[in-house]
Amino acid sequence: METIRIYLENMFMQLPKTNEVMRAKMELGQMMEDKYNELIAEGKTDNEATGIIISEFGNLDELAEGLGIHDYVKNGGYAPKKAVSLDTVKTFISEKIASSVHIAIAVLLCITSPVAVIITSALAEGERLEWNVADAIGVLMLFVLIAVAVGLIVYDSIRMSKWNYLKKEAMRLDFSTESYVKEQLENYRPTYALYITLGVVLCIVSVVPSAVICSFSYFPLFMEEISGAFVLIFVGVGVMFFIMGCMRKGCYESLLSLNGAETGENRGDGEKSELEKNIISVFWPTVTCIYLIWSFLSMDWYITWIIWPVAAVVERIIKLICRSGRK
Amino acid sequence: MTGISSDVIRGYNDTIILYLLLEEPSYGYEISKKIKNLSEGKYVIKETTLYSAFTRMQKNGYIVSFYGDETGGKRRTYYRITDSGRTYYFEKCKEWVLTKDVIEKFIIREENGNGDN
Repeated sequence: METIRIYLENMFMQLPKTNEVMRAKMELGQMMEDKYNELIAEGKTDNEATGIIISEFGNLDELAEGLGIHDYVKNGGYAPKKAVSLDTVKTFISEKIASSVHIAIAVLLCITSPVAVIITSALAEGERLEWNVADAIGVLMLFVLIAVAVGLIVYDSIRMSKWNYLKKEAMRLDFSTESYVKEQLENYRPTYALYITLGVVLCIVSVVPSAVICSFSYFPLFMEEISGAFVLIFVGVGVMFFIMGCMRKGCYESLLSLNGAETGENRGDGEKSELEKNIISVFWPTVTCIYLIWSFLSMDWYITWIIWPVAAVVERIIKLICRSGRK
Repeated sequence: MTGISSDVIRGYNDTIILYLLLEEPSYGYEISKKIKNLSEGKYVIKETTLYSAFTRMQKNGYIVSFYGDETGGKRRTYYRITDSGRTYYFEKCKEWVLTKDVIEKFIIREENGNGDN
């Protein structure tokens, strides 16, 4: 019976929620339920009954005229809601996963880009390198890394832009595809939890190496100079895990939100992630800019890293505000 | 396998439903069950077809709906035929007799195959 209920939900998902439509849904649901109960009483299994009922249900086009949604069905909402095939969905998911790795690497490069500056300055401090050479190499490396990262992001967004139609045109998942995506999402949850945990742990312990190095005097001065680099690397890898985890989960959820068929929690999620995504998409680049500008102006690399954990907290707060703003 | 073409029967779904309502008011599933039984399983009306017939005939004033009391908890929507529904039904019956007479003149019945569709 559950399957039938979901089937009916999906059928009516795309229709405007007028009184007529809601009444039709209720009554069709009642007919199906009556039929189901009788089939079960006749000794059919749940699967058999479900199959018979769905095959004998008919289609929504027939209801269109009576429900005053004829124009809607013909021109707008319902008719162009083409089903995305399972193969397309699989390709989309695998490309989205590849894309999440690219973006994660790009962000890692951005965050760790000052490492070269830190190392070359440390070398110069230790008089192993001329200051002007050190600066040149450091800054050059920094811009090369940022250039590569930006290149990756641009390449990726162009490559992924072919999927924009999934959002812009009215598309939906058919029943089996939706079940497939739901299953994938469920299977992915443990990995997601692991990634997020790793990300959080790495961000928290990012200060440990530099704290250890700075508090014991037997480390060479050089190590002390470059200890800031460890923070960046730790945070960079941590953020990389965040991004990979969130993007892949977001991919499944955005597919499911096409149907909007997800219950309660996720229905809000679909809309919310839109606003959130917009904010988050400018958030991390902005933070990176602030970080670089502040660091270069002040040259206080030993302290400017603090912007990353602070930014992570701010991001969380933004998300919470978005969420509560919805409710 | 040859079944009933929905194009052919479309014009008479209303007639079929009205016939069943002549006796007593009824609700969606009961009507669809009666159609299946009376047609000896040869015609199974789709839920969407049935419901669209209900809404159409309500608009035309052939039937009215009301909530029946149910023991099972949920209130079912029952349909009752109106006077204009009766009038319409008998008109449709005459129309069918005429239609059948006309079409019959163009039908060849073969012994072995009954090639409708």
